[in-house]
Amino acid sequence: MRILLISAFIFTLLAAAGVPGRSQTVIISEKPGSHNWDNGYGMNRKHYSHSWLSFGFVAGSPDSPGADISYWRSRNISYGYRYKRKYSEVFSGGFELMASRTAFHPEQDQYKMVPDTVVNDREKLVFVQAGAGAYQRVNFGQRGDHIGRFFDIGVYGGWNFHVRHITHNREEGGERLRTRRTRMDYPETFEYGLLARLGSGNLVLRGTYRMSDLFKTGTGIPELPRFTVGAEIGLHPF
Amino acid sequence: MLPFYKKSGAPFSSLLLCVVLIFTASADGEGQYDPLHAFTVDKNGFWVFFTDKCAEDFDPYLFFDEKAIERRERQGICLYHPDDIPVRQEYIDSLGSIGLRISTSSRWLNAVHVYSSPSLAWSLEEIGFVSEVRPAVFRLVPASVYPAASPGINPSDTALLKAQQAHMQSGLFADNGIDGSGVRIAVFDAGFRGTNSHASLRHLVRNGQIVDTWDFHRQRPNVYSNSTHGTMVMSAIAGKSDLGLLGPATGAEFLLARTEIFREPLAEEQYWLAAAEWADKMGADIINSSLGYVFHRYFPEQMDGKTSLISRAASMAASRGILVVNAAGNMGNNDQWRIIVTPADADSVLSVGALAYPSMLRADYSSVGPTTDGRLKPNVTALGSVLAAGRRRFTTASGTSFASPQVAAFAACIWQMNPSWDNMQVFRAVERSSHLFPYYDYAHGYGTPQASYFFSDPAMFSAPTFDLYQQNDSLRVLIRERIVPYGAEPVGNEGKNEYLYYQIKNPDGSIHKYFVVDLEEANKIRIGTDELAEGQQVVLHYRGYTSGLEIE
Repeated sequence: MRILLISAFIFTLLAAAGVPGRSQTVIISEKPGSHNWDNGYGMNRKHYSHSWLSFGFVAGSPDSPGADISYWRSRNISYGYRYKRKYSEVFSGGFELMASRTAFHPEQDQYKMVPDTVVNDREKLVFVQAGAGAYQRVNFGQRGDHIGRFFDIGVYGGWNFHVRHITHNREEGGERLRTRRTRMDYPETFEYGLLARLGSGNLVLRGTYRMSDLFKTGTGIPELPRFTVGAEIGLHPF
Repeated sequence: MLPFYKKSGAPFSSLLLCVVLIFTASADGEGQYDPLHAFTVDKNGFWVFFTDKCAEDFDPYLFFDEKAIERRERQGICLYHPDDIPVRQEYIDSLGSIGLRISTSSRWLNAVHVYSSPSLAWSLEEIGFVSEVRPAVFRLVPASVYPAASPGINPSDTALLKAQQAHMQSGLFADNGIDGSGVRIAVFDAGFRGTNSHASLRHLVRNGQIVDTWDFHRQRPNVYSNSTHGTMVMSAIAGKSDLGLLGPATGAEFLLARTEIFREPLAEEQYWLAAAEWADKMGADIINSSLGYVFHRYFPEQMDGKTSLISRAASMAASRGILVVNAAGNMGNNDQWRIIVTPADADSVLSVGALAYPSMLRADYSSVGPTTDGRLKPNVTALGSVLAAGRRRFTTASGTSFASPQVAAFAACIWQMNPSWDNMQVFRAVERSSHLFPYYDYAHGYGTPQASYFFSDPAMFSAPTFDLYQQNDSLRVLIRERIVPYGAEPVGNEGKNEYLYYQIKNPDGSIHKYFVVDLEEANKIRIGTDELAEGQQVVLHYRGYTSGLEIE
């Protein structure tokens, strides 16, 4: 028994050390024609899904005075995952899940009413949202297994699960004061609207129009601009 | 990134403007897919086809370069073929006079490519001499991967260069004074930055071997900008270095065509077509094209050699006596594609796959065959990793882009040796000279062309290197003494690998399965026949010898 154990140990050692053996190794093994090109999944197949990243700006005029914003600084960034179902060469549709962050920077002037009339050195309202959308796509032009050029129109809805109001001021003594408020009672919890996209391959121009209000009725806070416009990058092969 | 921001509410109006612009530019004639006119789509590009040509004024001796006349006469090709008569200039002028921007005219298609608004383009069908209008666009992908800059030839590159020189035995050409002289090669690429100045290619400029150049995108003769991809390709054909030749066809003449707009992404098919016609007119014997169309325009199941316009254009070039050598493509490791790209799928295009270094087996990125209609592709393979001329110094690069020019250079050399051959004879000779021939598989084609085929007694290639017999439920392969006939396999692997290639063939001749086995030190192998169907044949290749056995 002991000899057997020793033999097994030596054999294992030799094997581990890679002692050359008289063997052969199959390097390539191919079965041509076994590949099913159309397995139903692909950029221009029946099903496709991909993630995307967008960056945009708040645009358009406010509903009423007192809600002017700094357009350059009021931005939106979103990340999402989109499913596309192809109906024909021209039409497809689908849905998407997304997370977004939109920051509004109210203009600090005498007319300011969002979210209050206090003029600060700097101020922003940030809406962080988890949402979903559905869209209908129209494709243009023949293409291979590629996203191609398209126009999307759809709807979206989201839950503003985190809203914060941040102000920056410099006190008389030169001291900087930053305030950060959350769990305010004036923002609406849910948001919905329309979306439109115009794309070619990975590059997409996108716009959204918010149909719902950001602030609860009765608060007297004028509505901030409802549009966002921006660019989106589809995170799929070029 | 797209410009999209303007202060205040302007971004949205910009978006709307874009929507309007793109909508007005995208009436695309969607509908029935027509393989004959598979060159469809894009924003403002249209092909306008004409009803007729005027043969009266056509004088091929004035129209073609002397070399093109010589090629046609040598190969017995008609000098007055209707396809060769140029598009009627008055038709082109008429279209120009109504404000269309004409980018290309094609005598093979009897058409011009124009930029126009869709409404204007479609209205052209009303003109009497216009037979048809089609939208057009394409995307090209140069077949190269992993280019890496290197300051010069370093020791690790030296080994690569040795393999590059040796794997097709191109030294034999140089030893016998063969350098592609008298053969004119057209190279289509994204740009040739450095070709006119790099030390390895200076001899071409000095000796006036670059006969003509044309940038089909910018419509100007300067092609020495935009990209070094073409320079790397050129060096794989005709480059010289202190350590020897980078490519064997140092005496060939060249036509350089820039047919791609960017190095990697977009280009339009009309440039390739126009360049092919230009190459024909200028007397090219060989076209080397290191690019291909993939999923932007096609589905892999359309790689049948007939669907794409570019494969038809390549076939037309071949019918004019030009040997078209094209990279097989770098989609081999893309599970959504895998197979060869177009125009490498065309029957009369010599499609070249890439070998990995140092294994000398198919590089994982190299596209595989067969075509979707079951034809053998790639035809041959060559080393995909090369030492090449960069912008100023040397660089290493990989891809079927660099396998293709090596085969083009090889073809130029054998054409110099056999000037009476036509393009298809050269095509077949390249296949026959390959180290696996008559064996083939869909990863390596017939293998790597070997120059010794043209300098040695071909009989030496047929000496048996193994015995094959059936025993009970298996096939037994007994390896004979390990004598490696010269030229029996690419030497880049330094003789370390002992590859046995075998395939199971269906009764109709198609390959059911194929394998490559590294024998290491084994002298006998057993192939189980349990799963083989009656009538199937097992064909094996080992070191220059091919033999098969039908399963009983």
